[in-house]
Amino acid sequence: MVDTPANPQWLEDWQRMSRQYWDGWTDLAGKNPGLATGVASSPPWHEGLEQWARLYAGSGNHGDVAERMLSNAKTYLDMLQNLSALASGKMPDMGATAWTDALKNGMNIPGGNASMFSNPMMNGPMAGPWNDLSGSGAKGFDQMMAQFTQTIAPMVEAAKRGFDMPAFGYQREQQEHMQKTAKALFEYQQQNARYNALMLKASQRGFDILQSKLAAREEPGRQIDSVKALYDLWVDAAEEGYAEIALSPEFREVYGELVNAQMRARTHIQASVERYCNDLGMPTRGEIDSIGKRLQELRREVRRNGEATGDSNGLADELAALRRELAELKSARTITATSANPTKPAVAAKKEMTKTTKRKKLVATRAANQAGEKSPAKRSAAKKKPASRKAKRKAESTPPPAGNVEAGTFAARVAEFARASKGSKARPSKGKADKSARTGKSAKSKSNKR
Amino acid sequence: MGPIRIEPLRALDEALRIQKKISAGLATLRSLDDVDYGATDKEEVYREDKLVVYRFKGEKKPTAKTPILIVYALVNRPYMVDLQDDRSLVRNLLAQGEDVYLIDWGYTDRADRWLTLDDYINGYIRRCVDVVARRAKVPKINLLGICQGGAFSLCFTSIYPEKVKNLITMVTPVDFHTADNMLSHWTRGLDVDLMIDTLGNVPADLMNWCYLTLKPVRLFQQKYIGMIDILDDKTELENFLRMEKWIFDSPDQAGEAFREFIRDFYQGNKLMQGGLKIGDKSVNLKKITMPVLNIFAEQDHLVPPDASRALEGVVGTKDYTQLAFKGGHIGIYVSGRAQREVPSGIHNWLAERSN
Repeated sequence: MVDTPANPQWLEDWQRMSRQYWDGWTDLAGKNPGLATGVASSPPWHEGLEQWARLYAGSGNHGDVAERMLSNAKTYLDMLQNLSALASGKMPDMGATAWTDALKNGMNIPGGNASMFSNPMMNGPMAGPWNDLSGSGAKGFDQMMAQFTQTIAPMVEAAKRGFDMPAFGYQREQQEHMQKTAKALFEYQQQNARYNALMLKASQRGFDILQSKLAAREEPGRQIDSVKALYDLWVDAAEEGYAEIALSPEFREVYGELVNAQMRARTHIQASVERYCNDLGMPTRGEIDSIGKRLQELRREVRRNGEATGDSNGLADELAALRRELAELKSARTITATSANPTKPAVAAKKEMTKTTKRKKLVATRAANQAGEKSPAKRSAAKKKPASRKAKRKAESTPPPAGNVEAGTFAARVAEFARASKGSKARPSKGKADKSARTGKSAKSKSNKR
Repeated sequence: MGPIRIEPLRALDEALRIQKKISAGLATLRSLDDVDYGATDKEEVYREDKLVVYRFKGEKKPTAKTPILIVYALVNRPYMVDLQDDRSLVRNLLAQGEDVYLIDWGYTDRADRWLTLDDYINGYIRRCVDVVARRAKVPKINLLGICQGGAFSLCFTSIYPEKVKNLITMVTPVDFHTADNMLSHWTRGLDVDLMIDTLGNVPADLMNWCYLTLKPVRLFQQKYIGMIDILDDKTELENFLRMEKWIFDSPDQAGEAFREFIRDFYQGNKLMQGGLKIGDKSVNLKKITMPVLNIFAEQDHLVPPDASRALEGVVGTKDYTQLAFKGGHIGIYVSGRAQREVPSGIHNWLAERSN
């Protein structure tokens, strides 16, 4: 059971052991100048850090950050011990080259061959970042690839078995596809090896640079006197070496090929998964993409239409123009009627008024119908007595009077604007949209809110 | 004389000091709540799909008549400009009297896989600019584009110059083919069509990994060893965690927009060399004739200074100002120097052009 911070007995033990360990190690180093490695395979601070790591495992309180920090702290303490050992005794007279070799070899830093990168035993103090980089090109790709490879392992094995066999018969297509998948995976592994070789080159270049930096410190008064300073110098050198390689044309080509090879492998794997899903009647990635593409096209179209017909001021302007047009038409009809019956203007005016009232009612009814709402007159009629089917058919088949064509168009367009405005609003409140459609006030009020 | 003289006793002291720091500091780390971000009050003024436009509220009313709209990059979350009380570009701009709006792009998911640069620039940004202008009752606004958002702002301003009064770009890549641009160097060997056809959206983890591998030893290891030194300082530790959260809190990238951005900007360098089209609209930086302020960081490893400096040679304006900041891509928002220099630099430059 892990102690809590409130009762960290193990912590006190850990600190006491560390002190003893260091005392013992210092004595030993003093008696054995040139001691290049630690005196124990598992230093006590490792256990203390492990305790902390366990304490944080699964903890929501910055557990991931603590894990990263502890992992690197272990690395750093290892390095500190090794460097101290190197620095003690007769070592101070070592030159830059000897120091660099000692750092490289004594501390297990990559410098040999590319396979070291994939060797889990390679846990040198400074090897962490290179280990992280190796075998991946970009870790994100590598992680994804590892997951995929695990998932489809049985399929890959099947593909390997049939890799050299000619494809024929009922399973010809499937066999050929698996052969291609296997080839793509092998190609990816080849590209991965090329990438690892470049990472090794970057590491070696980092040590070349470190050596020259150390040489510059041989002058009196410029010596490095702390582990931290040496570590920082190594970081600078390692980054410089990496940058040189990472900016080379060779790296661009290798990196690109690595990513492309992985994408090809993934494409083949996805195609297989898609086919299996199809066979099982499950939705596939291709289908979802297809729906997504259509949906996006539809969203663009709706947006375009909304903007074309009624984006804010545009809708209001068009509505105002239509109103003016209607007023002019009314005015023109009044003048015509008046001039056609000059002797009885009052009667003509009354008839015109009656016509206008009827027309208004009809317009209102049509607009309301389009908005899915009954007119007031219909509502009251419906309350009184249900309309007969015959009457309904008659009403539907009766064309609007000639003089009402423009007005009818207007009503239809108002309703159309209401719908367009409703459709183009980013996230309409359902209740509001419905209400405005019912009241027929949608166009202007909505456009102002947008 | 050898280059290294480390006294064993000093090394021992260093080791014990580290152990002590870890012992004391980890308890502090465990006691800290999840760090918060966003120092300034804000109100939502527009929402469309996943994006939200916010207007920030200062302690006093803005004195500037023309608002600033911040267009952030798609690749990270925009709260970097308002990280915490004492590290906030937004708060400092408000204190100077500016009226500040920001586009928060939200978190992209598979439903956004088909969004193109046309959707982002001619669609979203244009409508956001219109909304801000309408609210402020001005015909043109000031645009502040950051990083990739700066490249978008350049495209937008070139297409709709009548909507932008002053253009400010921060750490914005213009020439994507400078010799020291590592990201661009890597992307040029990629078959981006194959990549997007395969991945759909580009996962945020993959993007983060690419950024970290630009400086692997510093960002994977040295940073966390440096963290040991601040373990017993609660404030510093919170600052570290806040930054850590921001770094790894990234949205996925909409596939089609990413494809176009890599192909036309990183690989084709069309923003610089010409021939860039966003949807059916051509981008020509010579059409940017309003005042331009270009701010970049001298130690920027993501957008090298030369990539930003190139704007001077290609933009059409005669009123071009350049501000080189001593710091990195992130430091330009959060360092102490940035708090002193950047907001006042922007405000003074705008004030001189307020008529």
